[in-house]
Amino acid sequence: MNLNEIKFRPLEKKTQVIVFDQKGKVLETDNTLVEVNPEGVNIFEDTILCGMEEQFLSLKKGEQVELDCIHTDFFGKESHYDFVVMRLEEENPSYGLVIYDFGAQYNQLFDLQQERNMAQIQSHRLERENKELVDEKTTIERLYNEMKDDSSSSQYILVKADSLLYNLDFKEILYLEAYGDYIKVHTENKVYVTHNTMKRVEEILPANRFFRVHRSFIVQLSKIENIEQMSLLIRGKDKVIPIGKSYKSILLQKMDQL
Amino acid sequence: MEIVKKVVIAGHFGVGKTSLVSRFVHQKFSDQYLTTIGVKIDKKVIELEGATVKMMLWDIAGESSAMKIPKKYLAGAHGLFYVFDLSREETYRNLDTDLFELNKSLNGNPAIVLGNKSDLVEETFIEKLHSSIATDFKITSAKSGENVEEAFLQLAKEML
Repeated sequence: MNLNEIKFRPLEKKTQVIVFDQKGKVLETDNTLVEVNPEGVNIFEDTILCGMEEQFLSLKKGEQVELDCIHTDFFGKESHYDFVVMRLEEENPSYGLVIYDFGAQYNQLFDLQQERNMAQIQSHRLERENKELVDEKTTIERLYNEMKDDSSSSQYILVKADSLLYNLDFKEILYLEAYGDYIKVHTENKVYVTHNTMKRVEEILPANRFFRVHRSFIVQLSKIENIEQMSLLIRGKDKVIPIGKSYKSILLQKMDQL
Repeated sequence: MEIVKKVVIAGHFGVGKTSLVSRFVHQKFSDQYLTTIGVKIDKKVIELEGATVKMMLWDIAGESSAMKIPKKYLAGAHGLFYVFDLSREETYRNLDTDLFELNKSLNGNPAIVLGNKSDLVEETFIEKLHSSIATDFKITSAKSGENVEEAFLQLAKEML
């Protein structure tokens, strides 16, 4: 089989055929794509088939190897090629190398592939950043809660009463009571009267420890002895504090129940 | 004496396979990502231990799994680089499975795993990764050139 016999195949326009022997020496070429001078050119040394002799020399007559979508410089012309190598003769073995130049087609494929890869890389990056943000949020929340617990167990508040500033430990406060334009701060041993509003005090006190149970009362949750229908009793005191209708359900939510 | 060796470079897309080849062959680096279609073939001739080694570098288009790599690209490979991106976990999540799959086509020929883009991660991260991944890997940066030449020379030696 020679070059012309191979050419009966329905070849694409941009196609070149090279016939070579088992040593890689070029026997024939039609030079339709690139100029190949048979003198001094060896297929196994000067093309991408370099290093693949064994694979091709083991082909039997009629067998072929296809290598598609190869981006390379082929005798000075860089493009995307498909290569087909086939064994032509058993005696005095010769081989046919058919080269298809699919540069234009693969350029279109490149655009699609580039877009797909970029989208996937971006998607993975966003996924990772999102996970990092969630982890960061969890860490911040944990640290905040730890900090809040630490500070609430040892925090003090200054209460101005009788022209003095009293440094009260939160732990001492039983409850607070509205008293006109003033607030009465009830502790175990003493009542402090200070000029302030319930709204302001409610904002200052830590929400995890104090809760407004009535428009006139804020209690420290740990000081509650029991809760009745619409009132509660302060631990160790006989003081009954009313619970406002609108506050009760939230109060019960804040306190763990068996 | 000239020895020809076919080297396959595989791994996920966007991990820097083409950049590593470009750094090794042309001593160049570009930040622009251009995807590889099919396979890009380059060659580099090096002198090693008194021999001239012509390395045919088959830079294969990145795939999310080694199973998707056409076997004909791997046929006849004398050595392989498996490249992953140190800054993208999804590129080394299935490292062992991918290597197992690729080794089937290597017939016992050497393979080197490269953790590329070391310029994007902290040293401490790399240390942690070394202890969490069972497979040994070499750190490279196509951008800075770190270990690139060394990696190719190491594979060349192992292939001789």
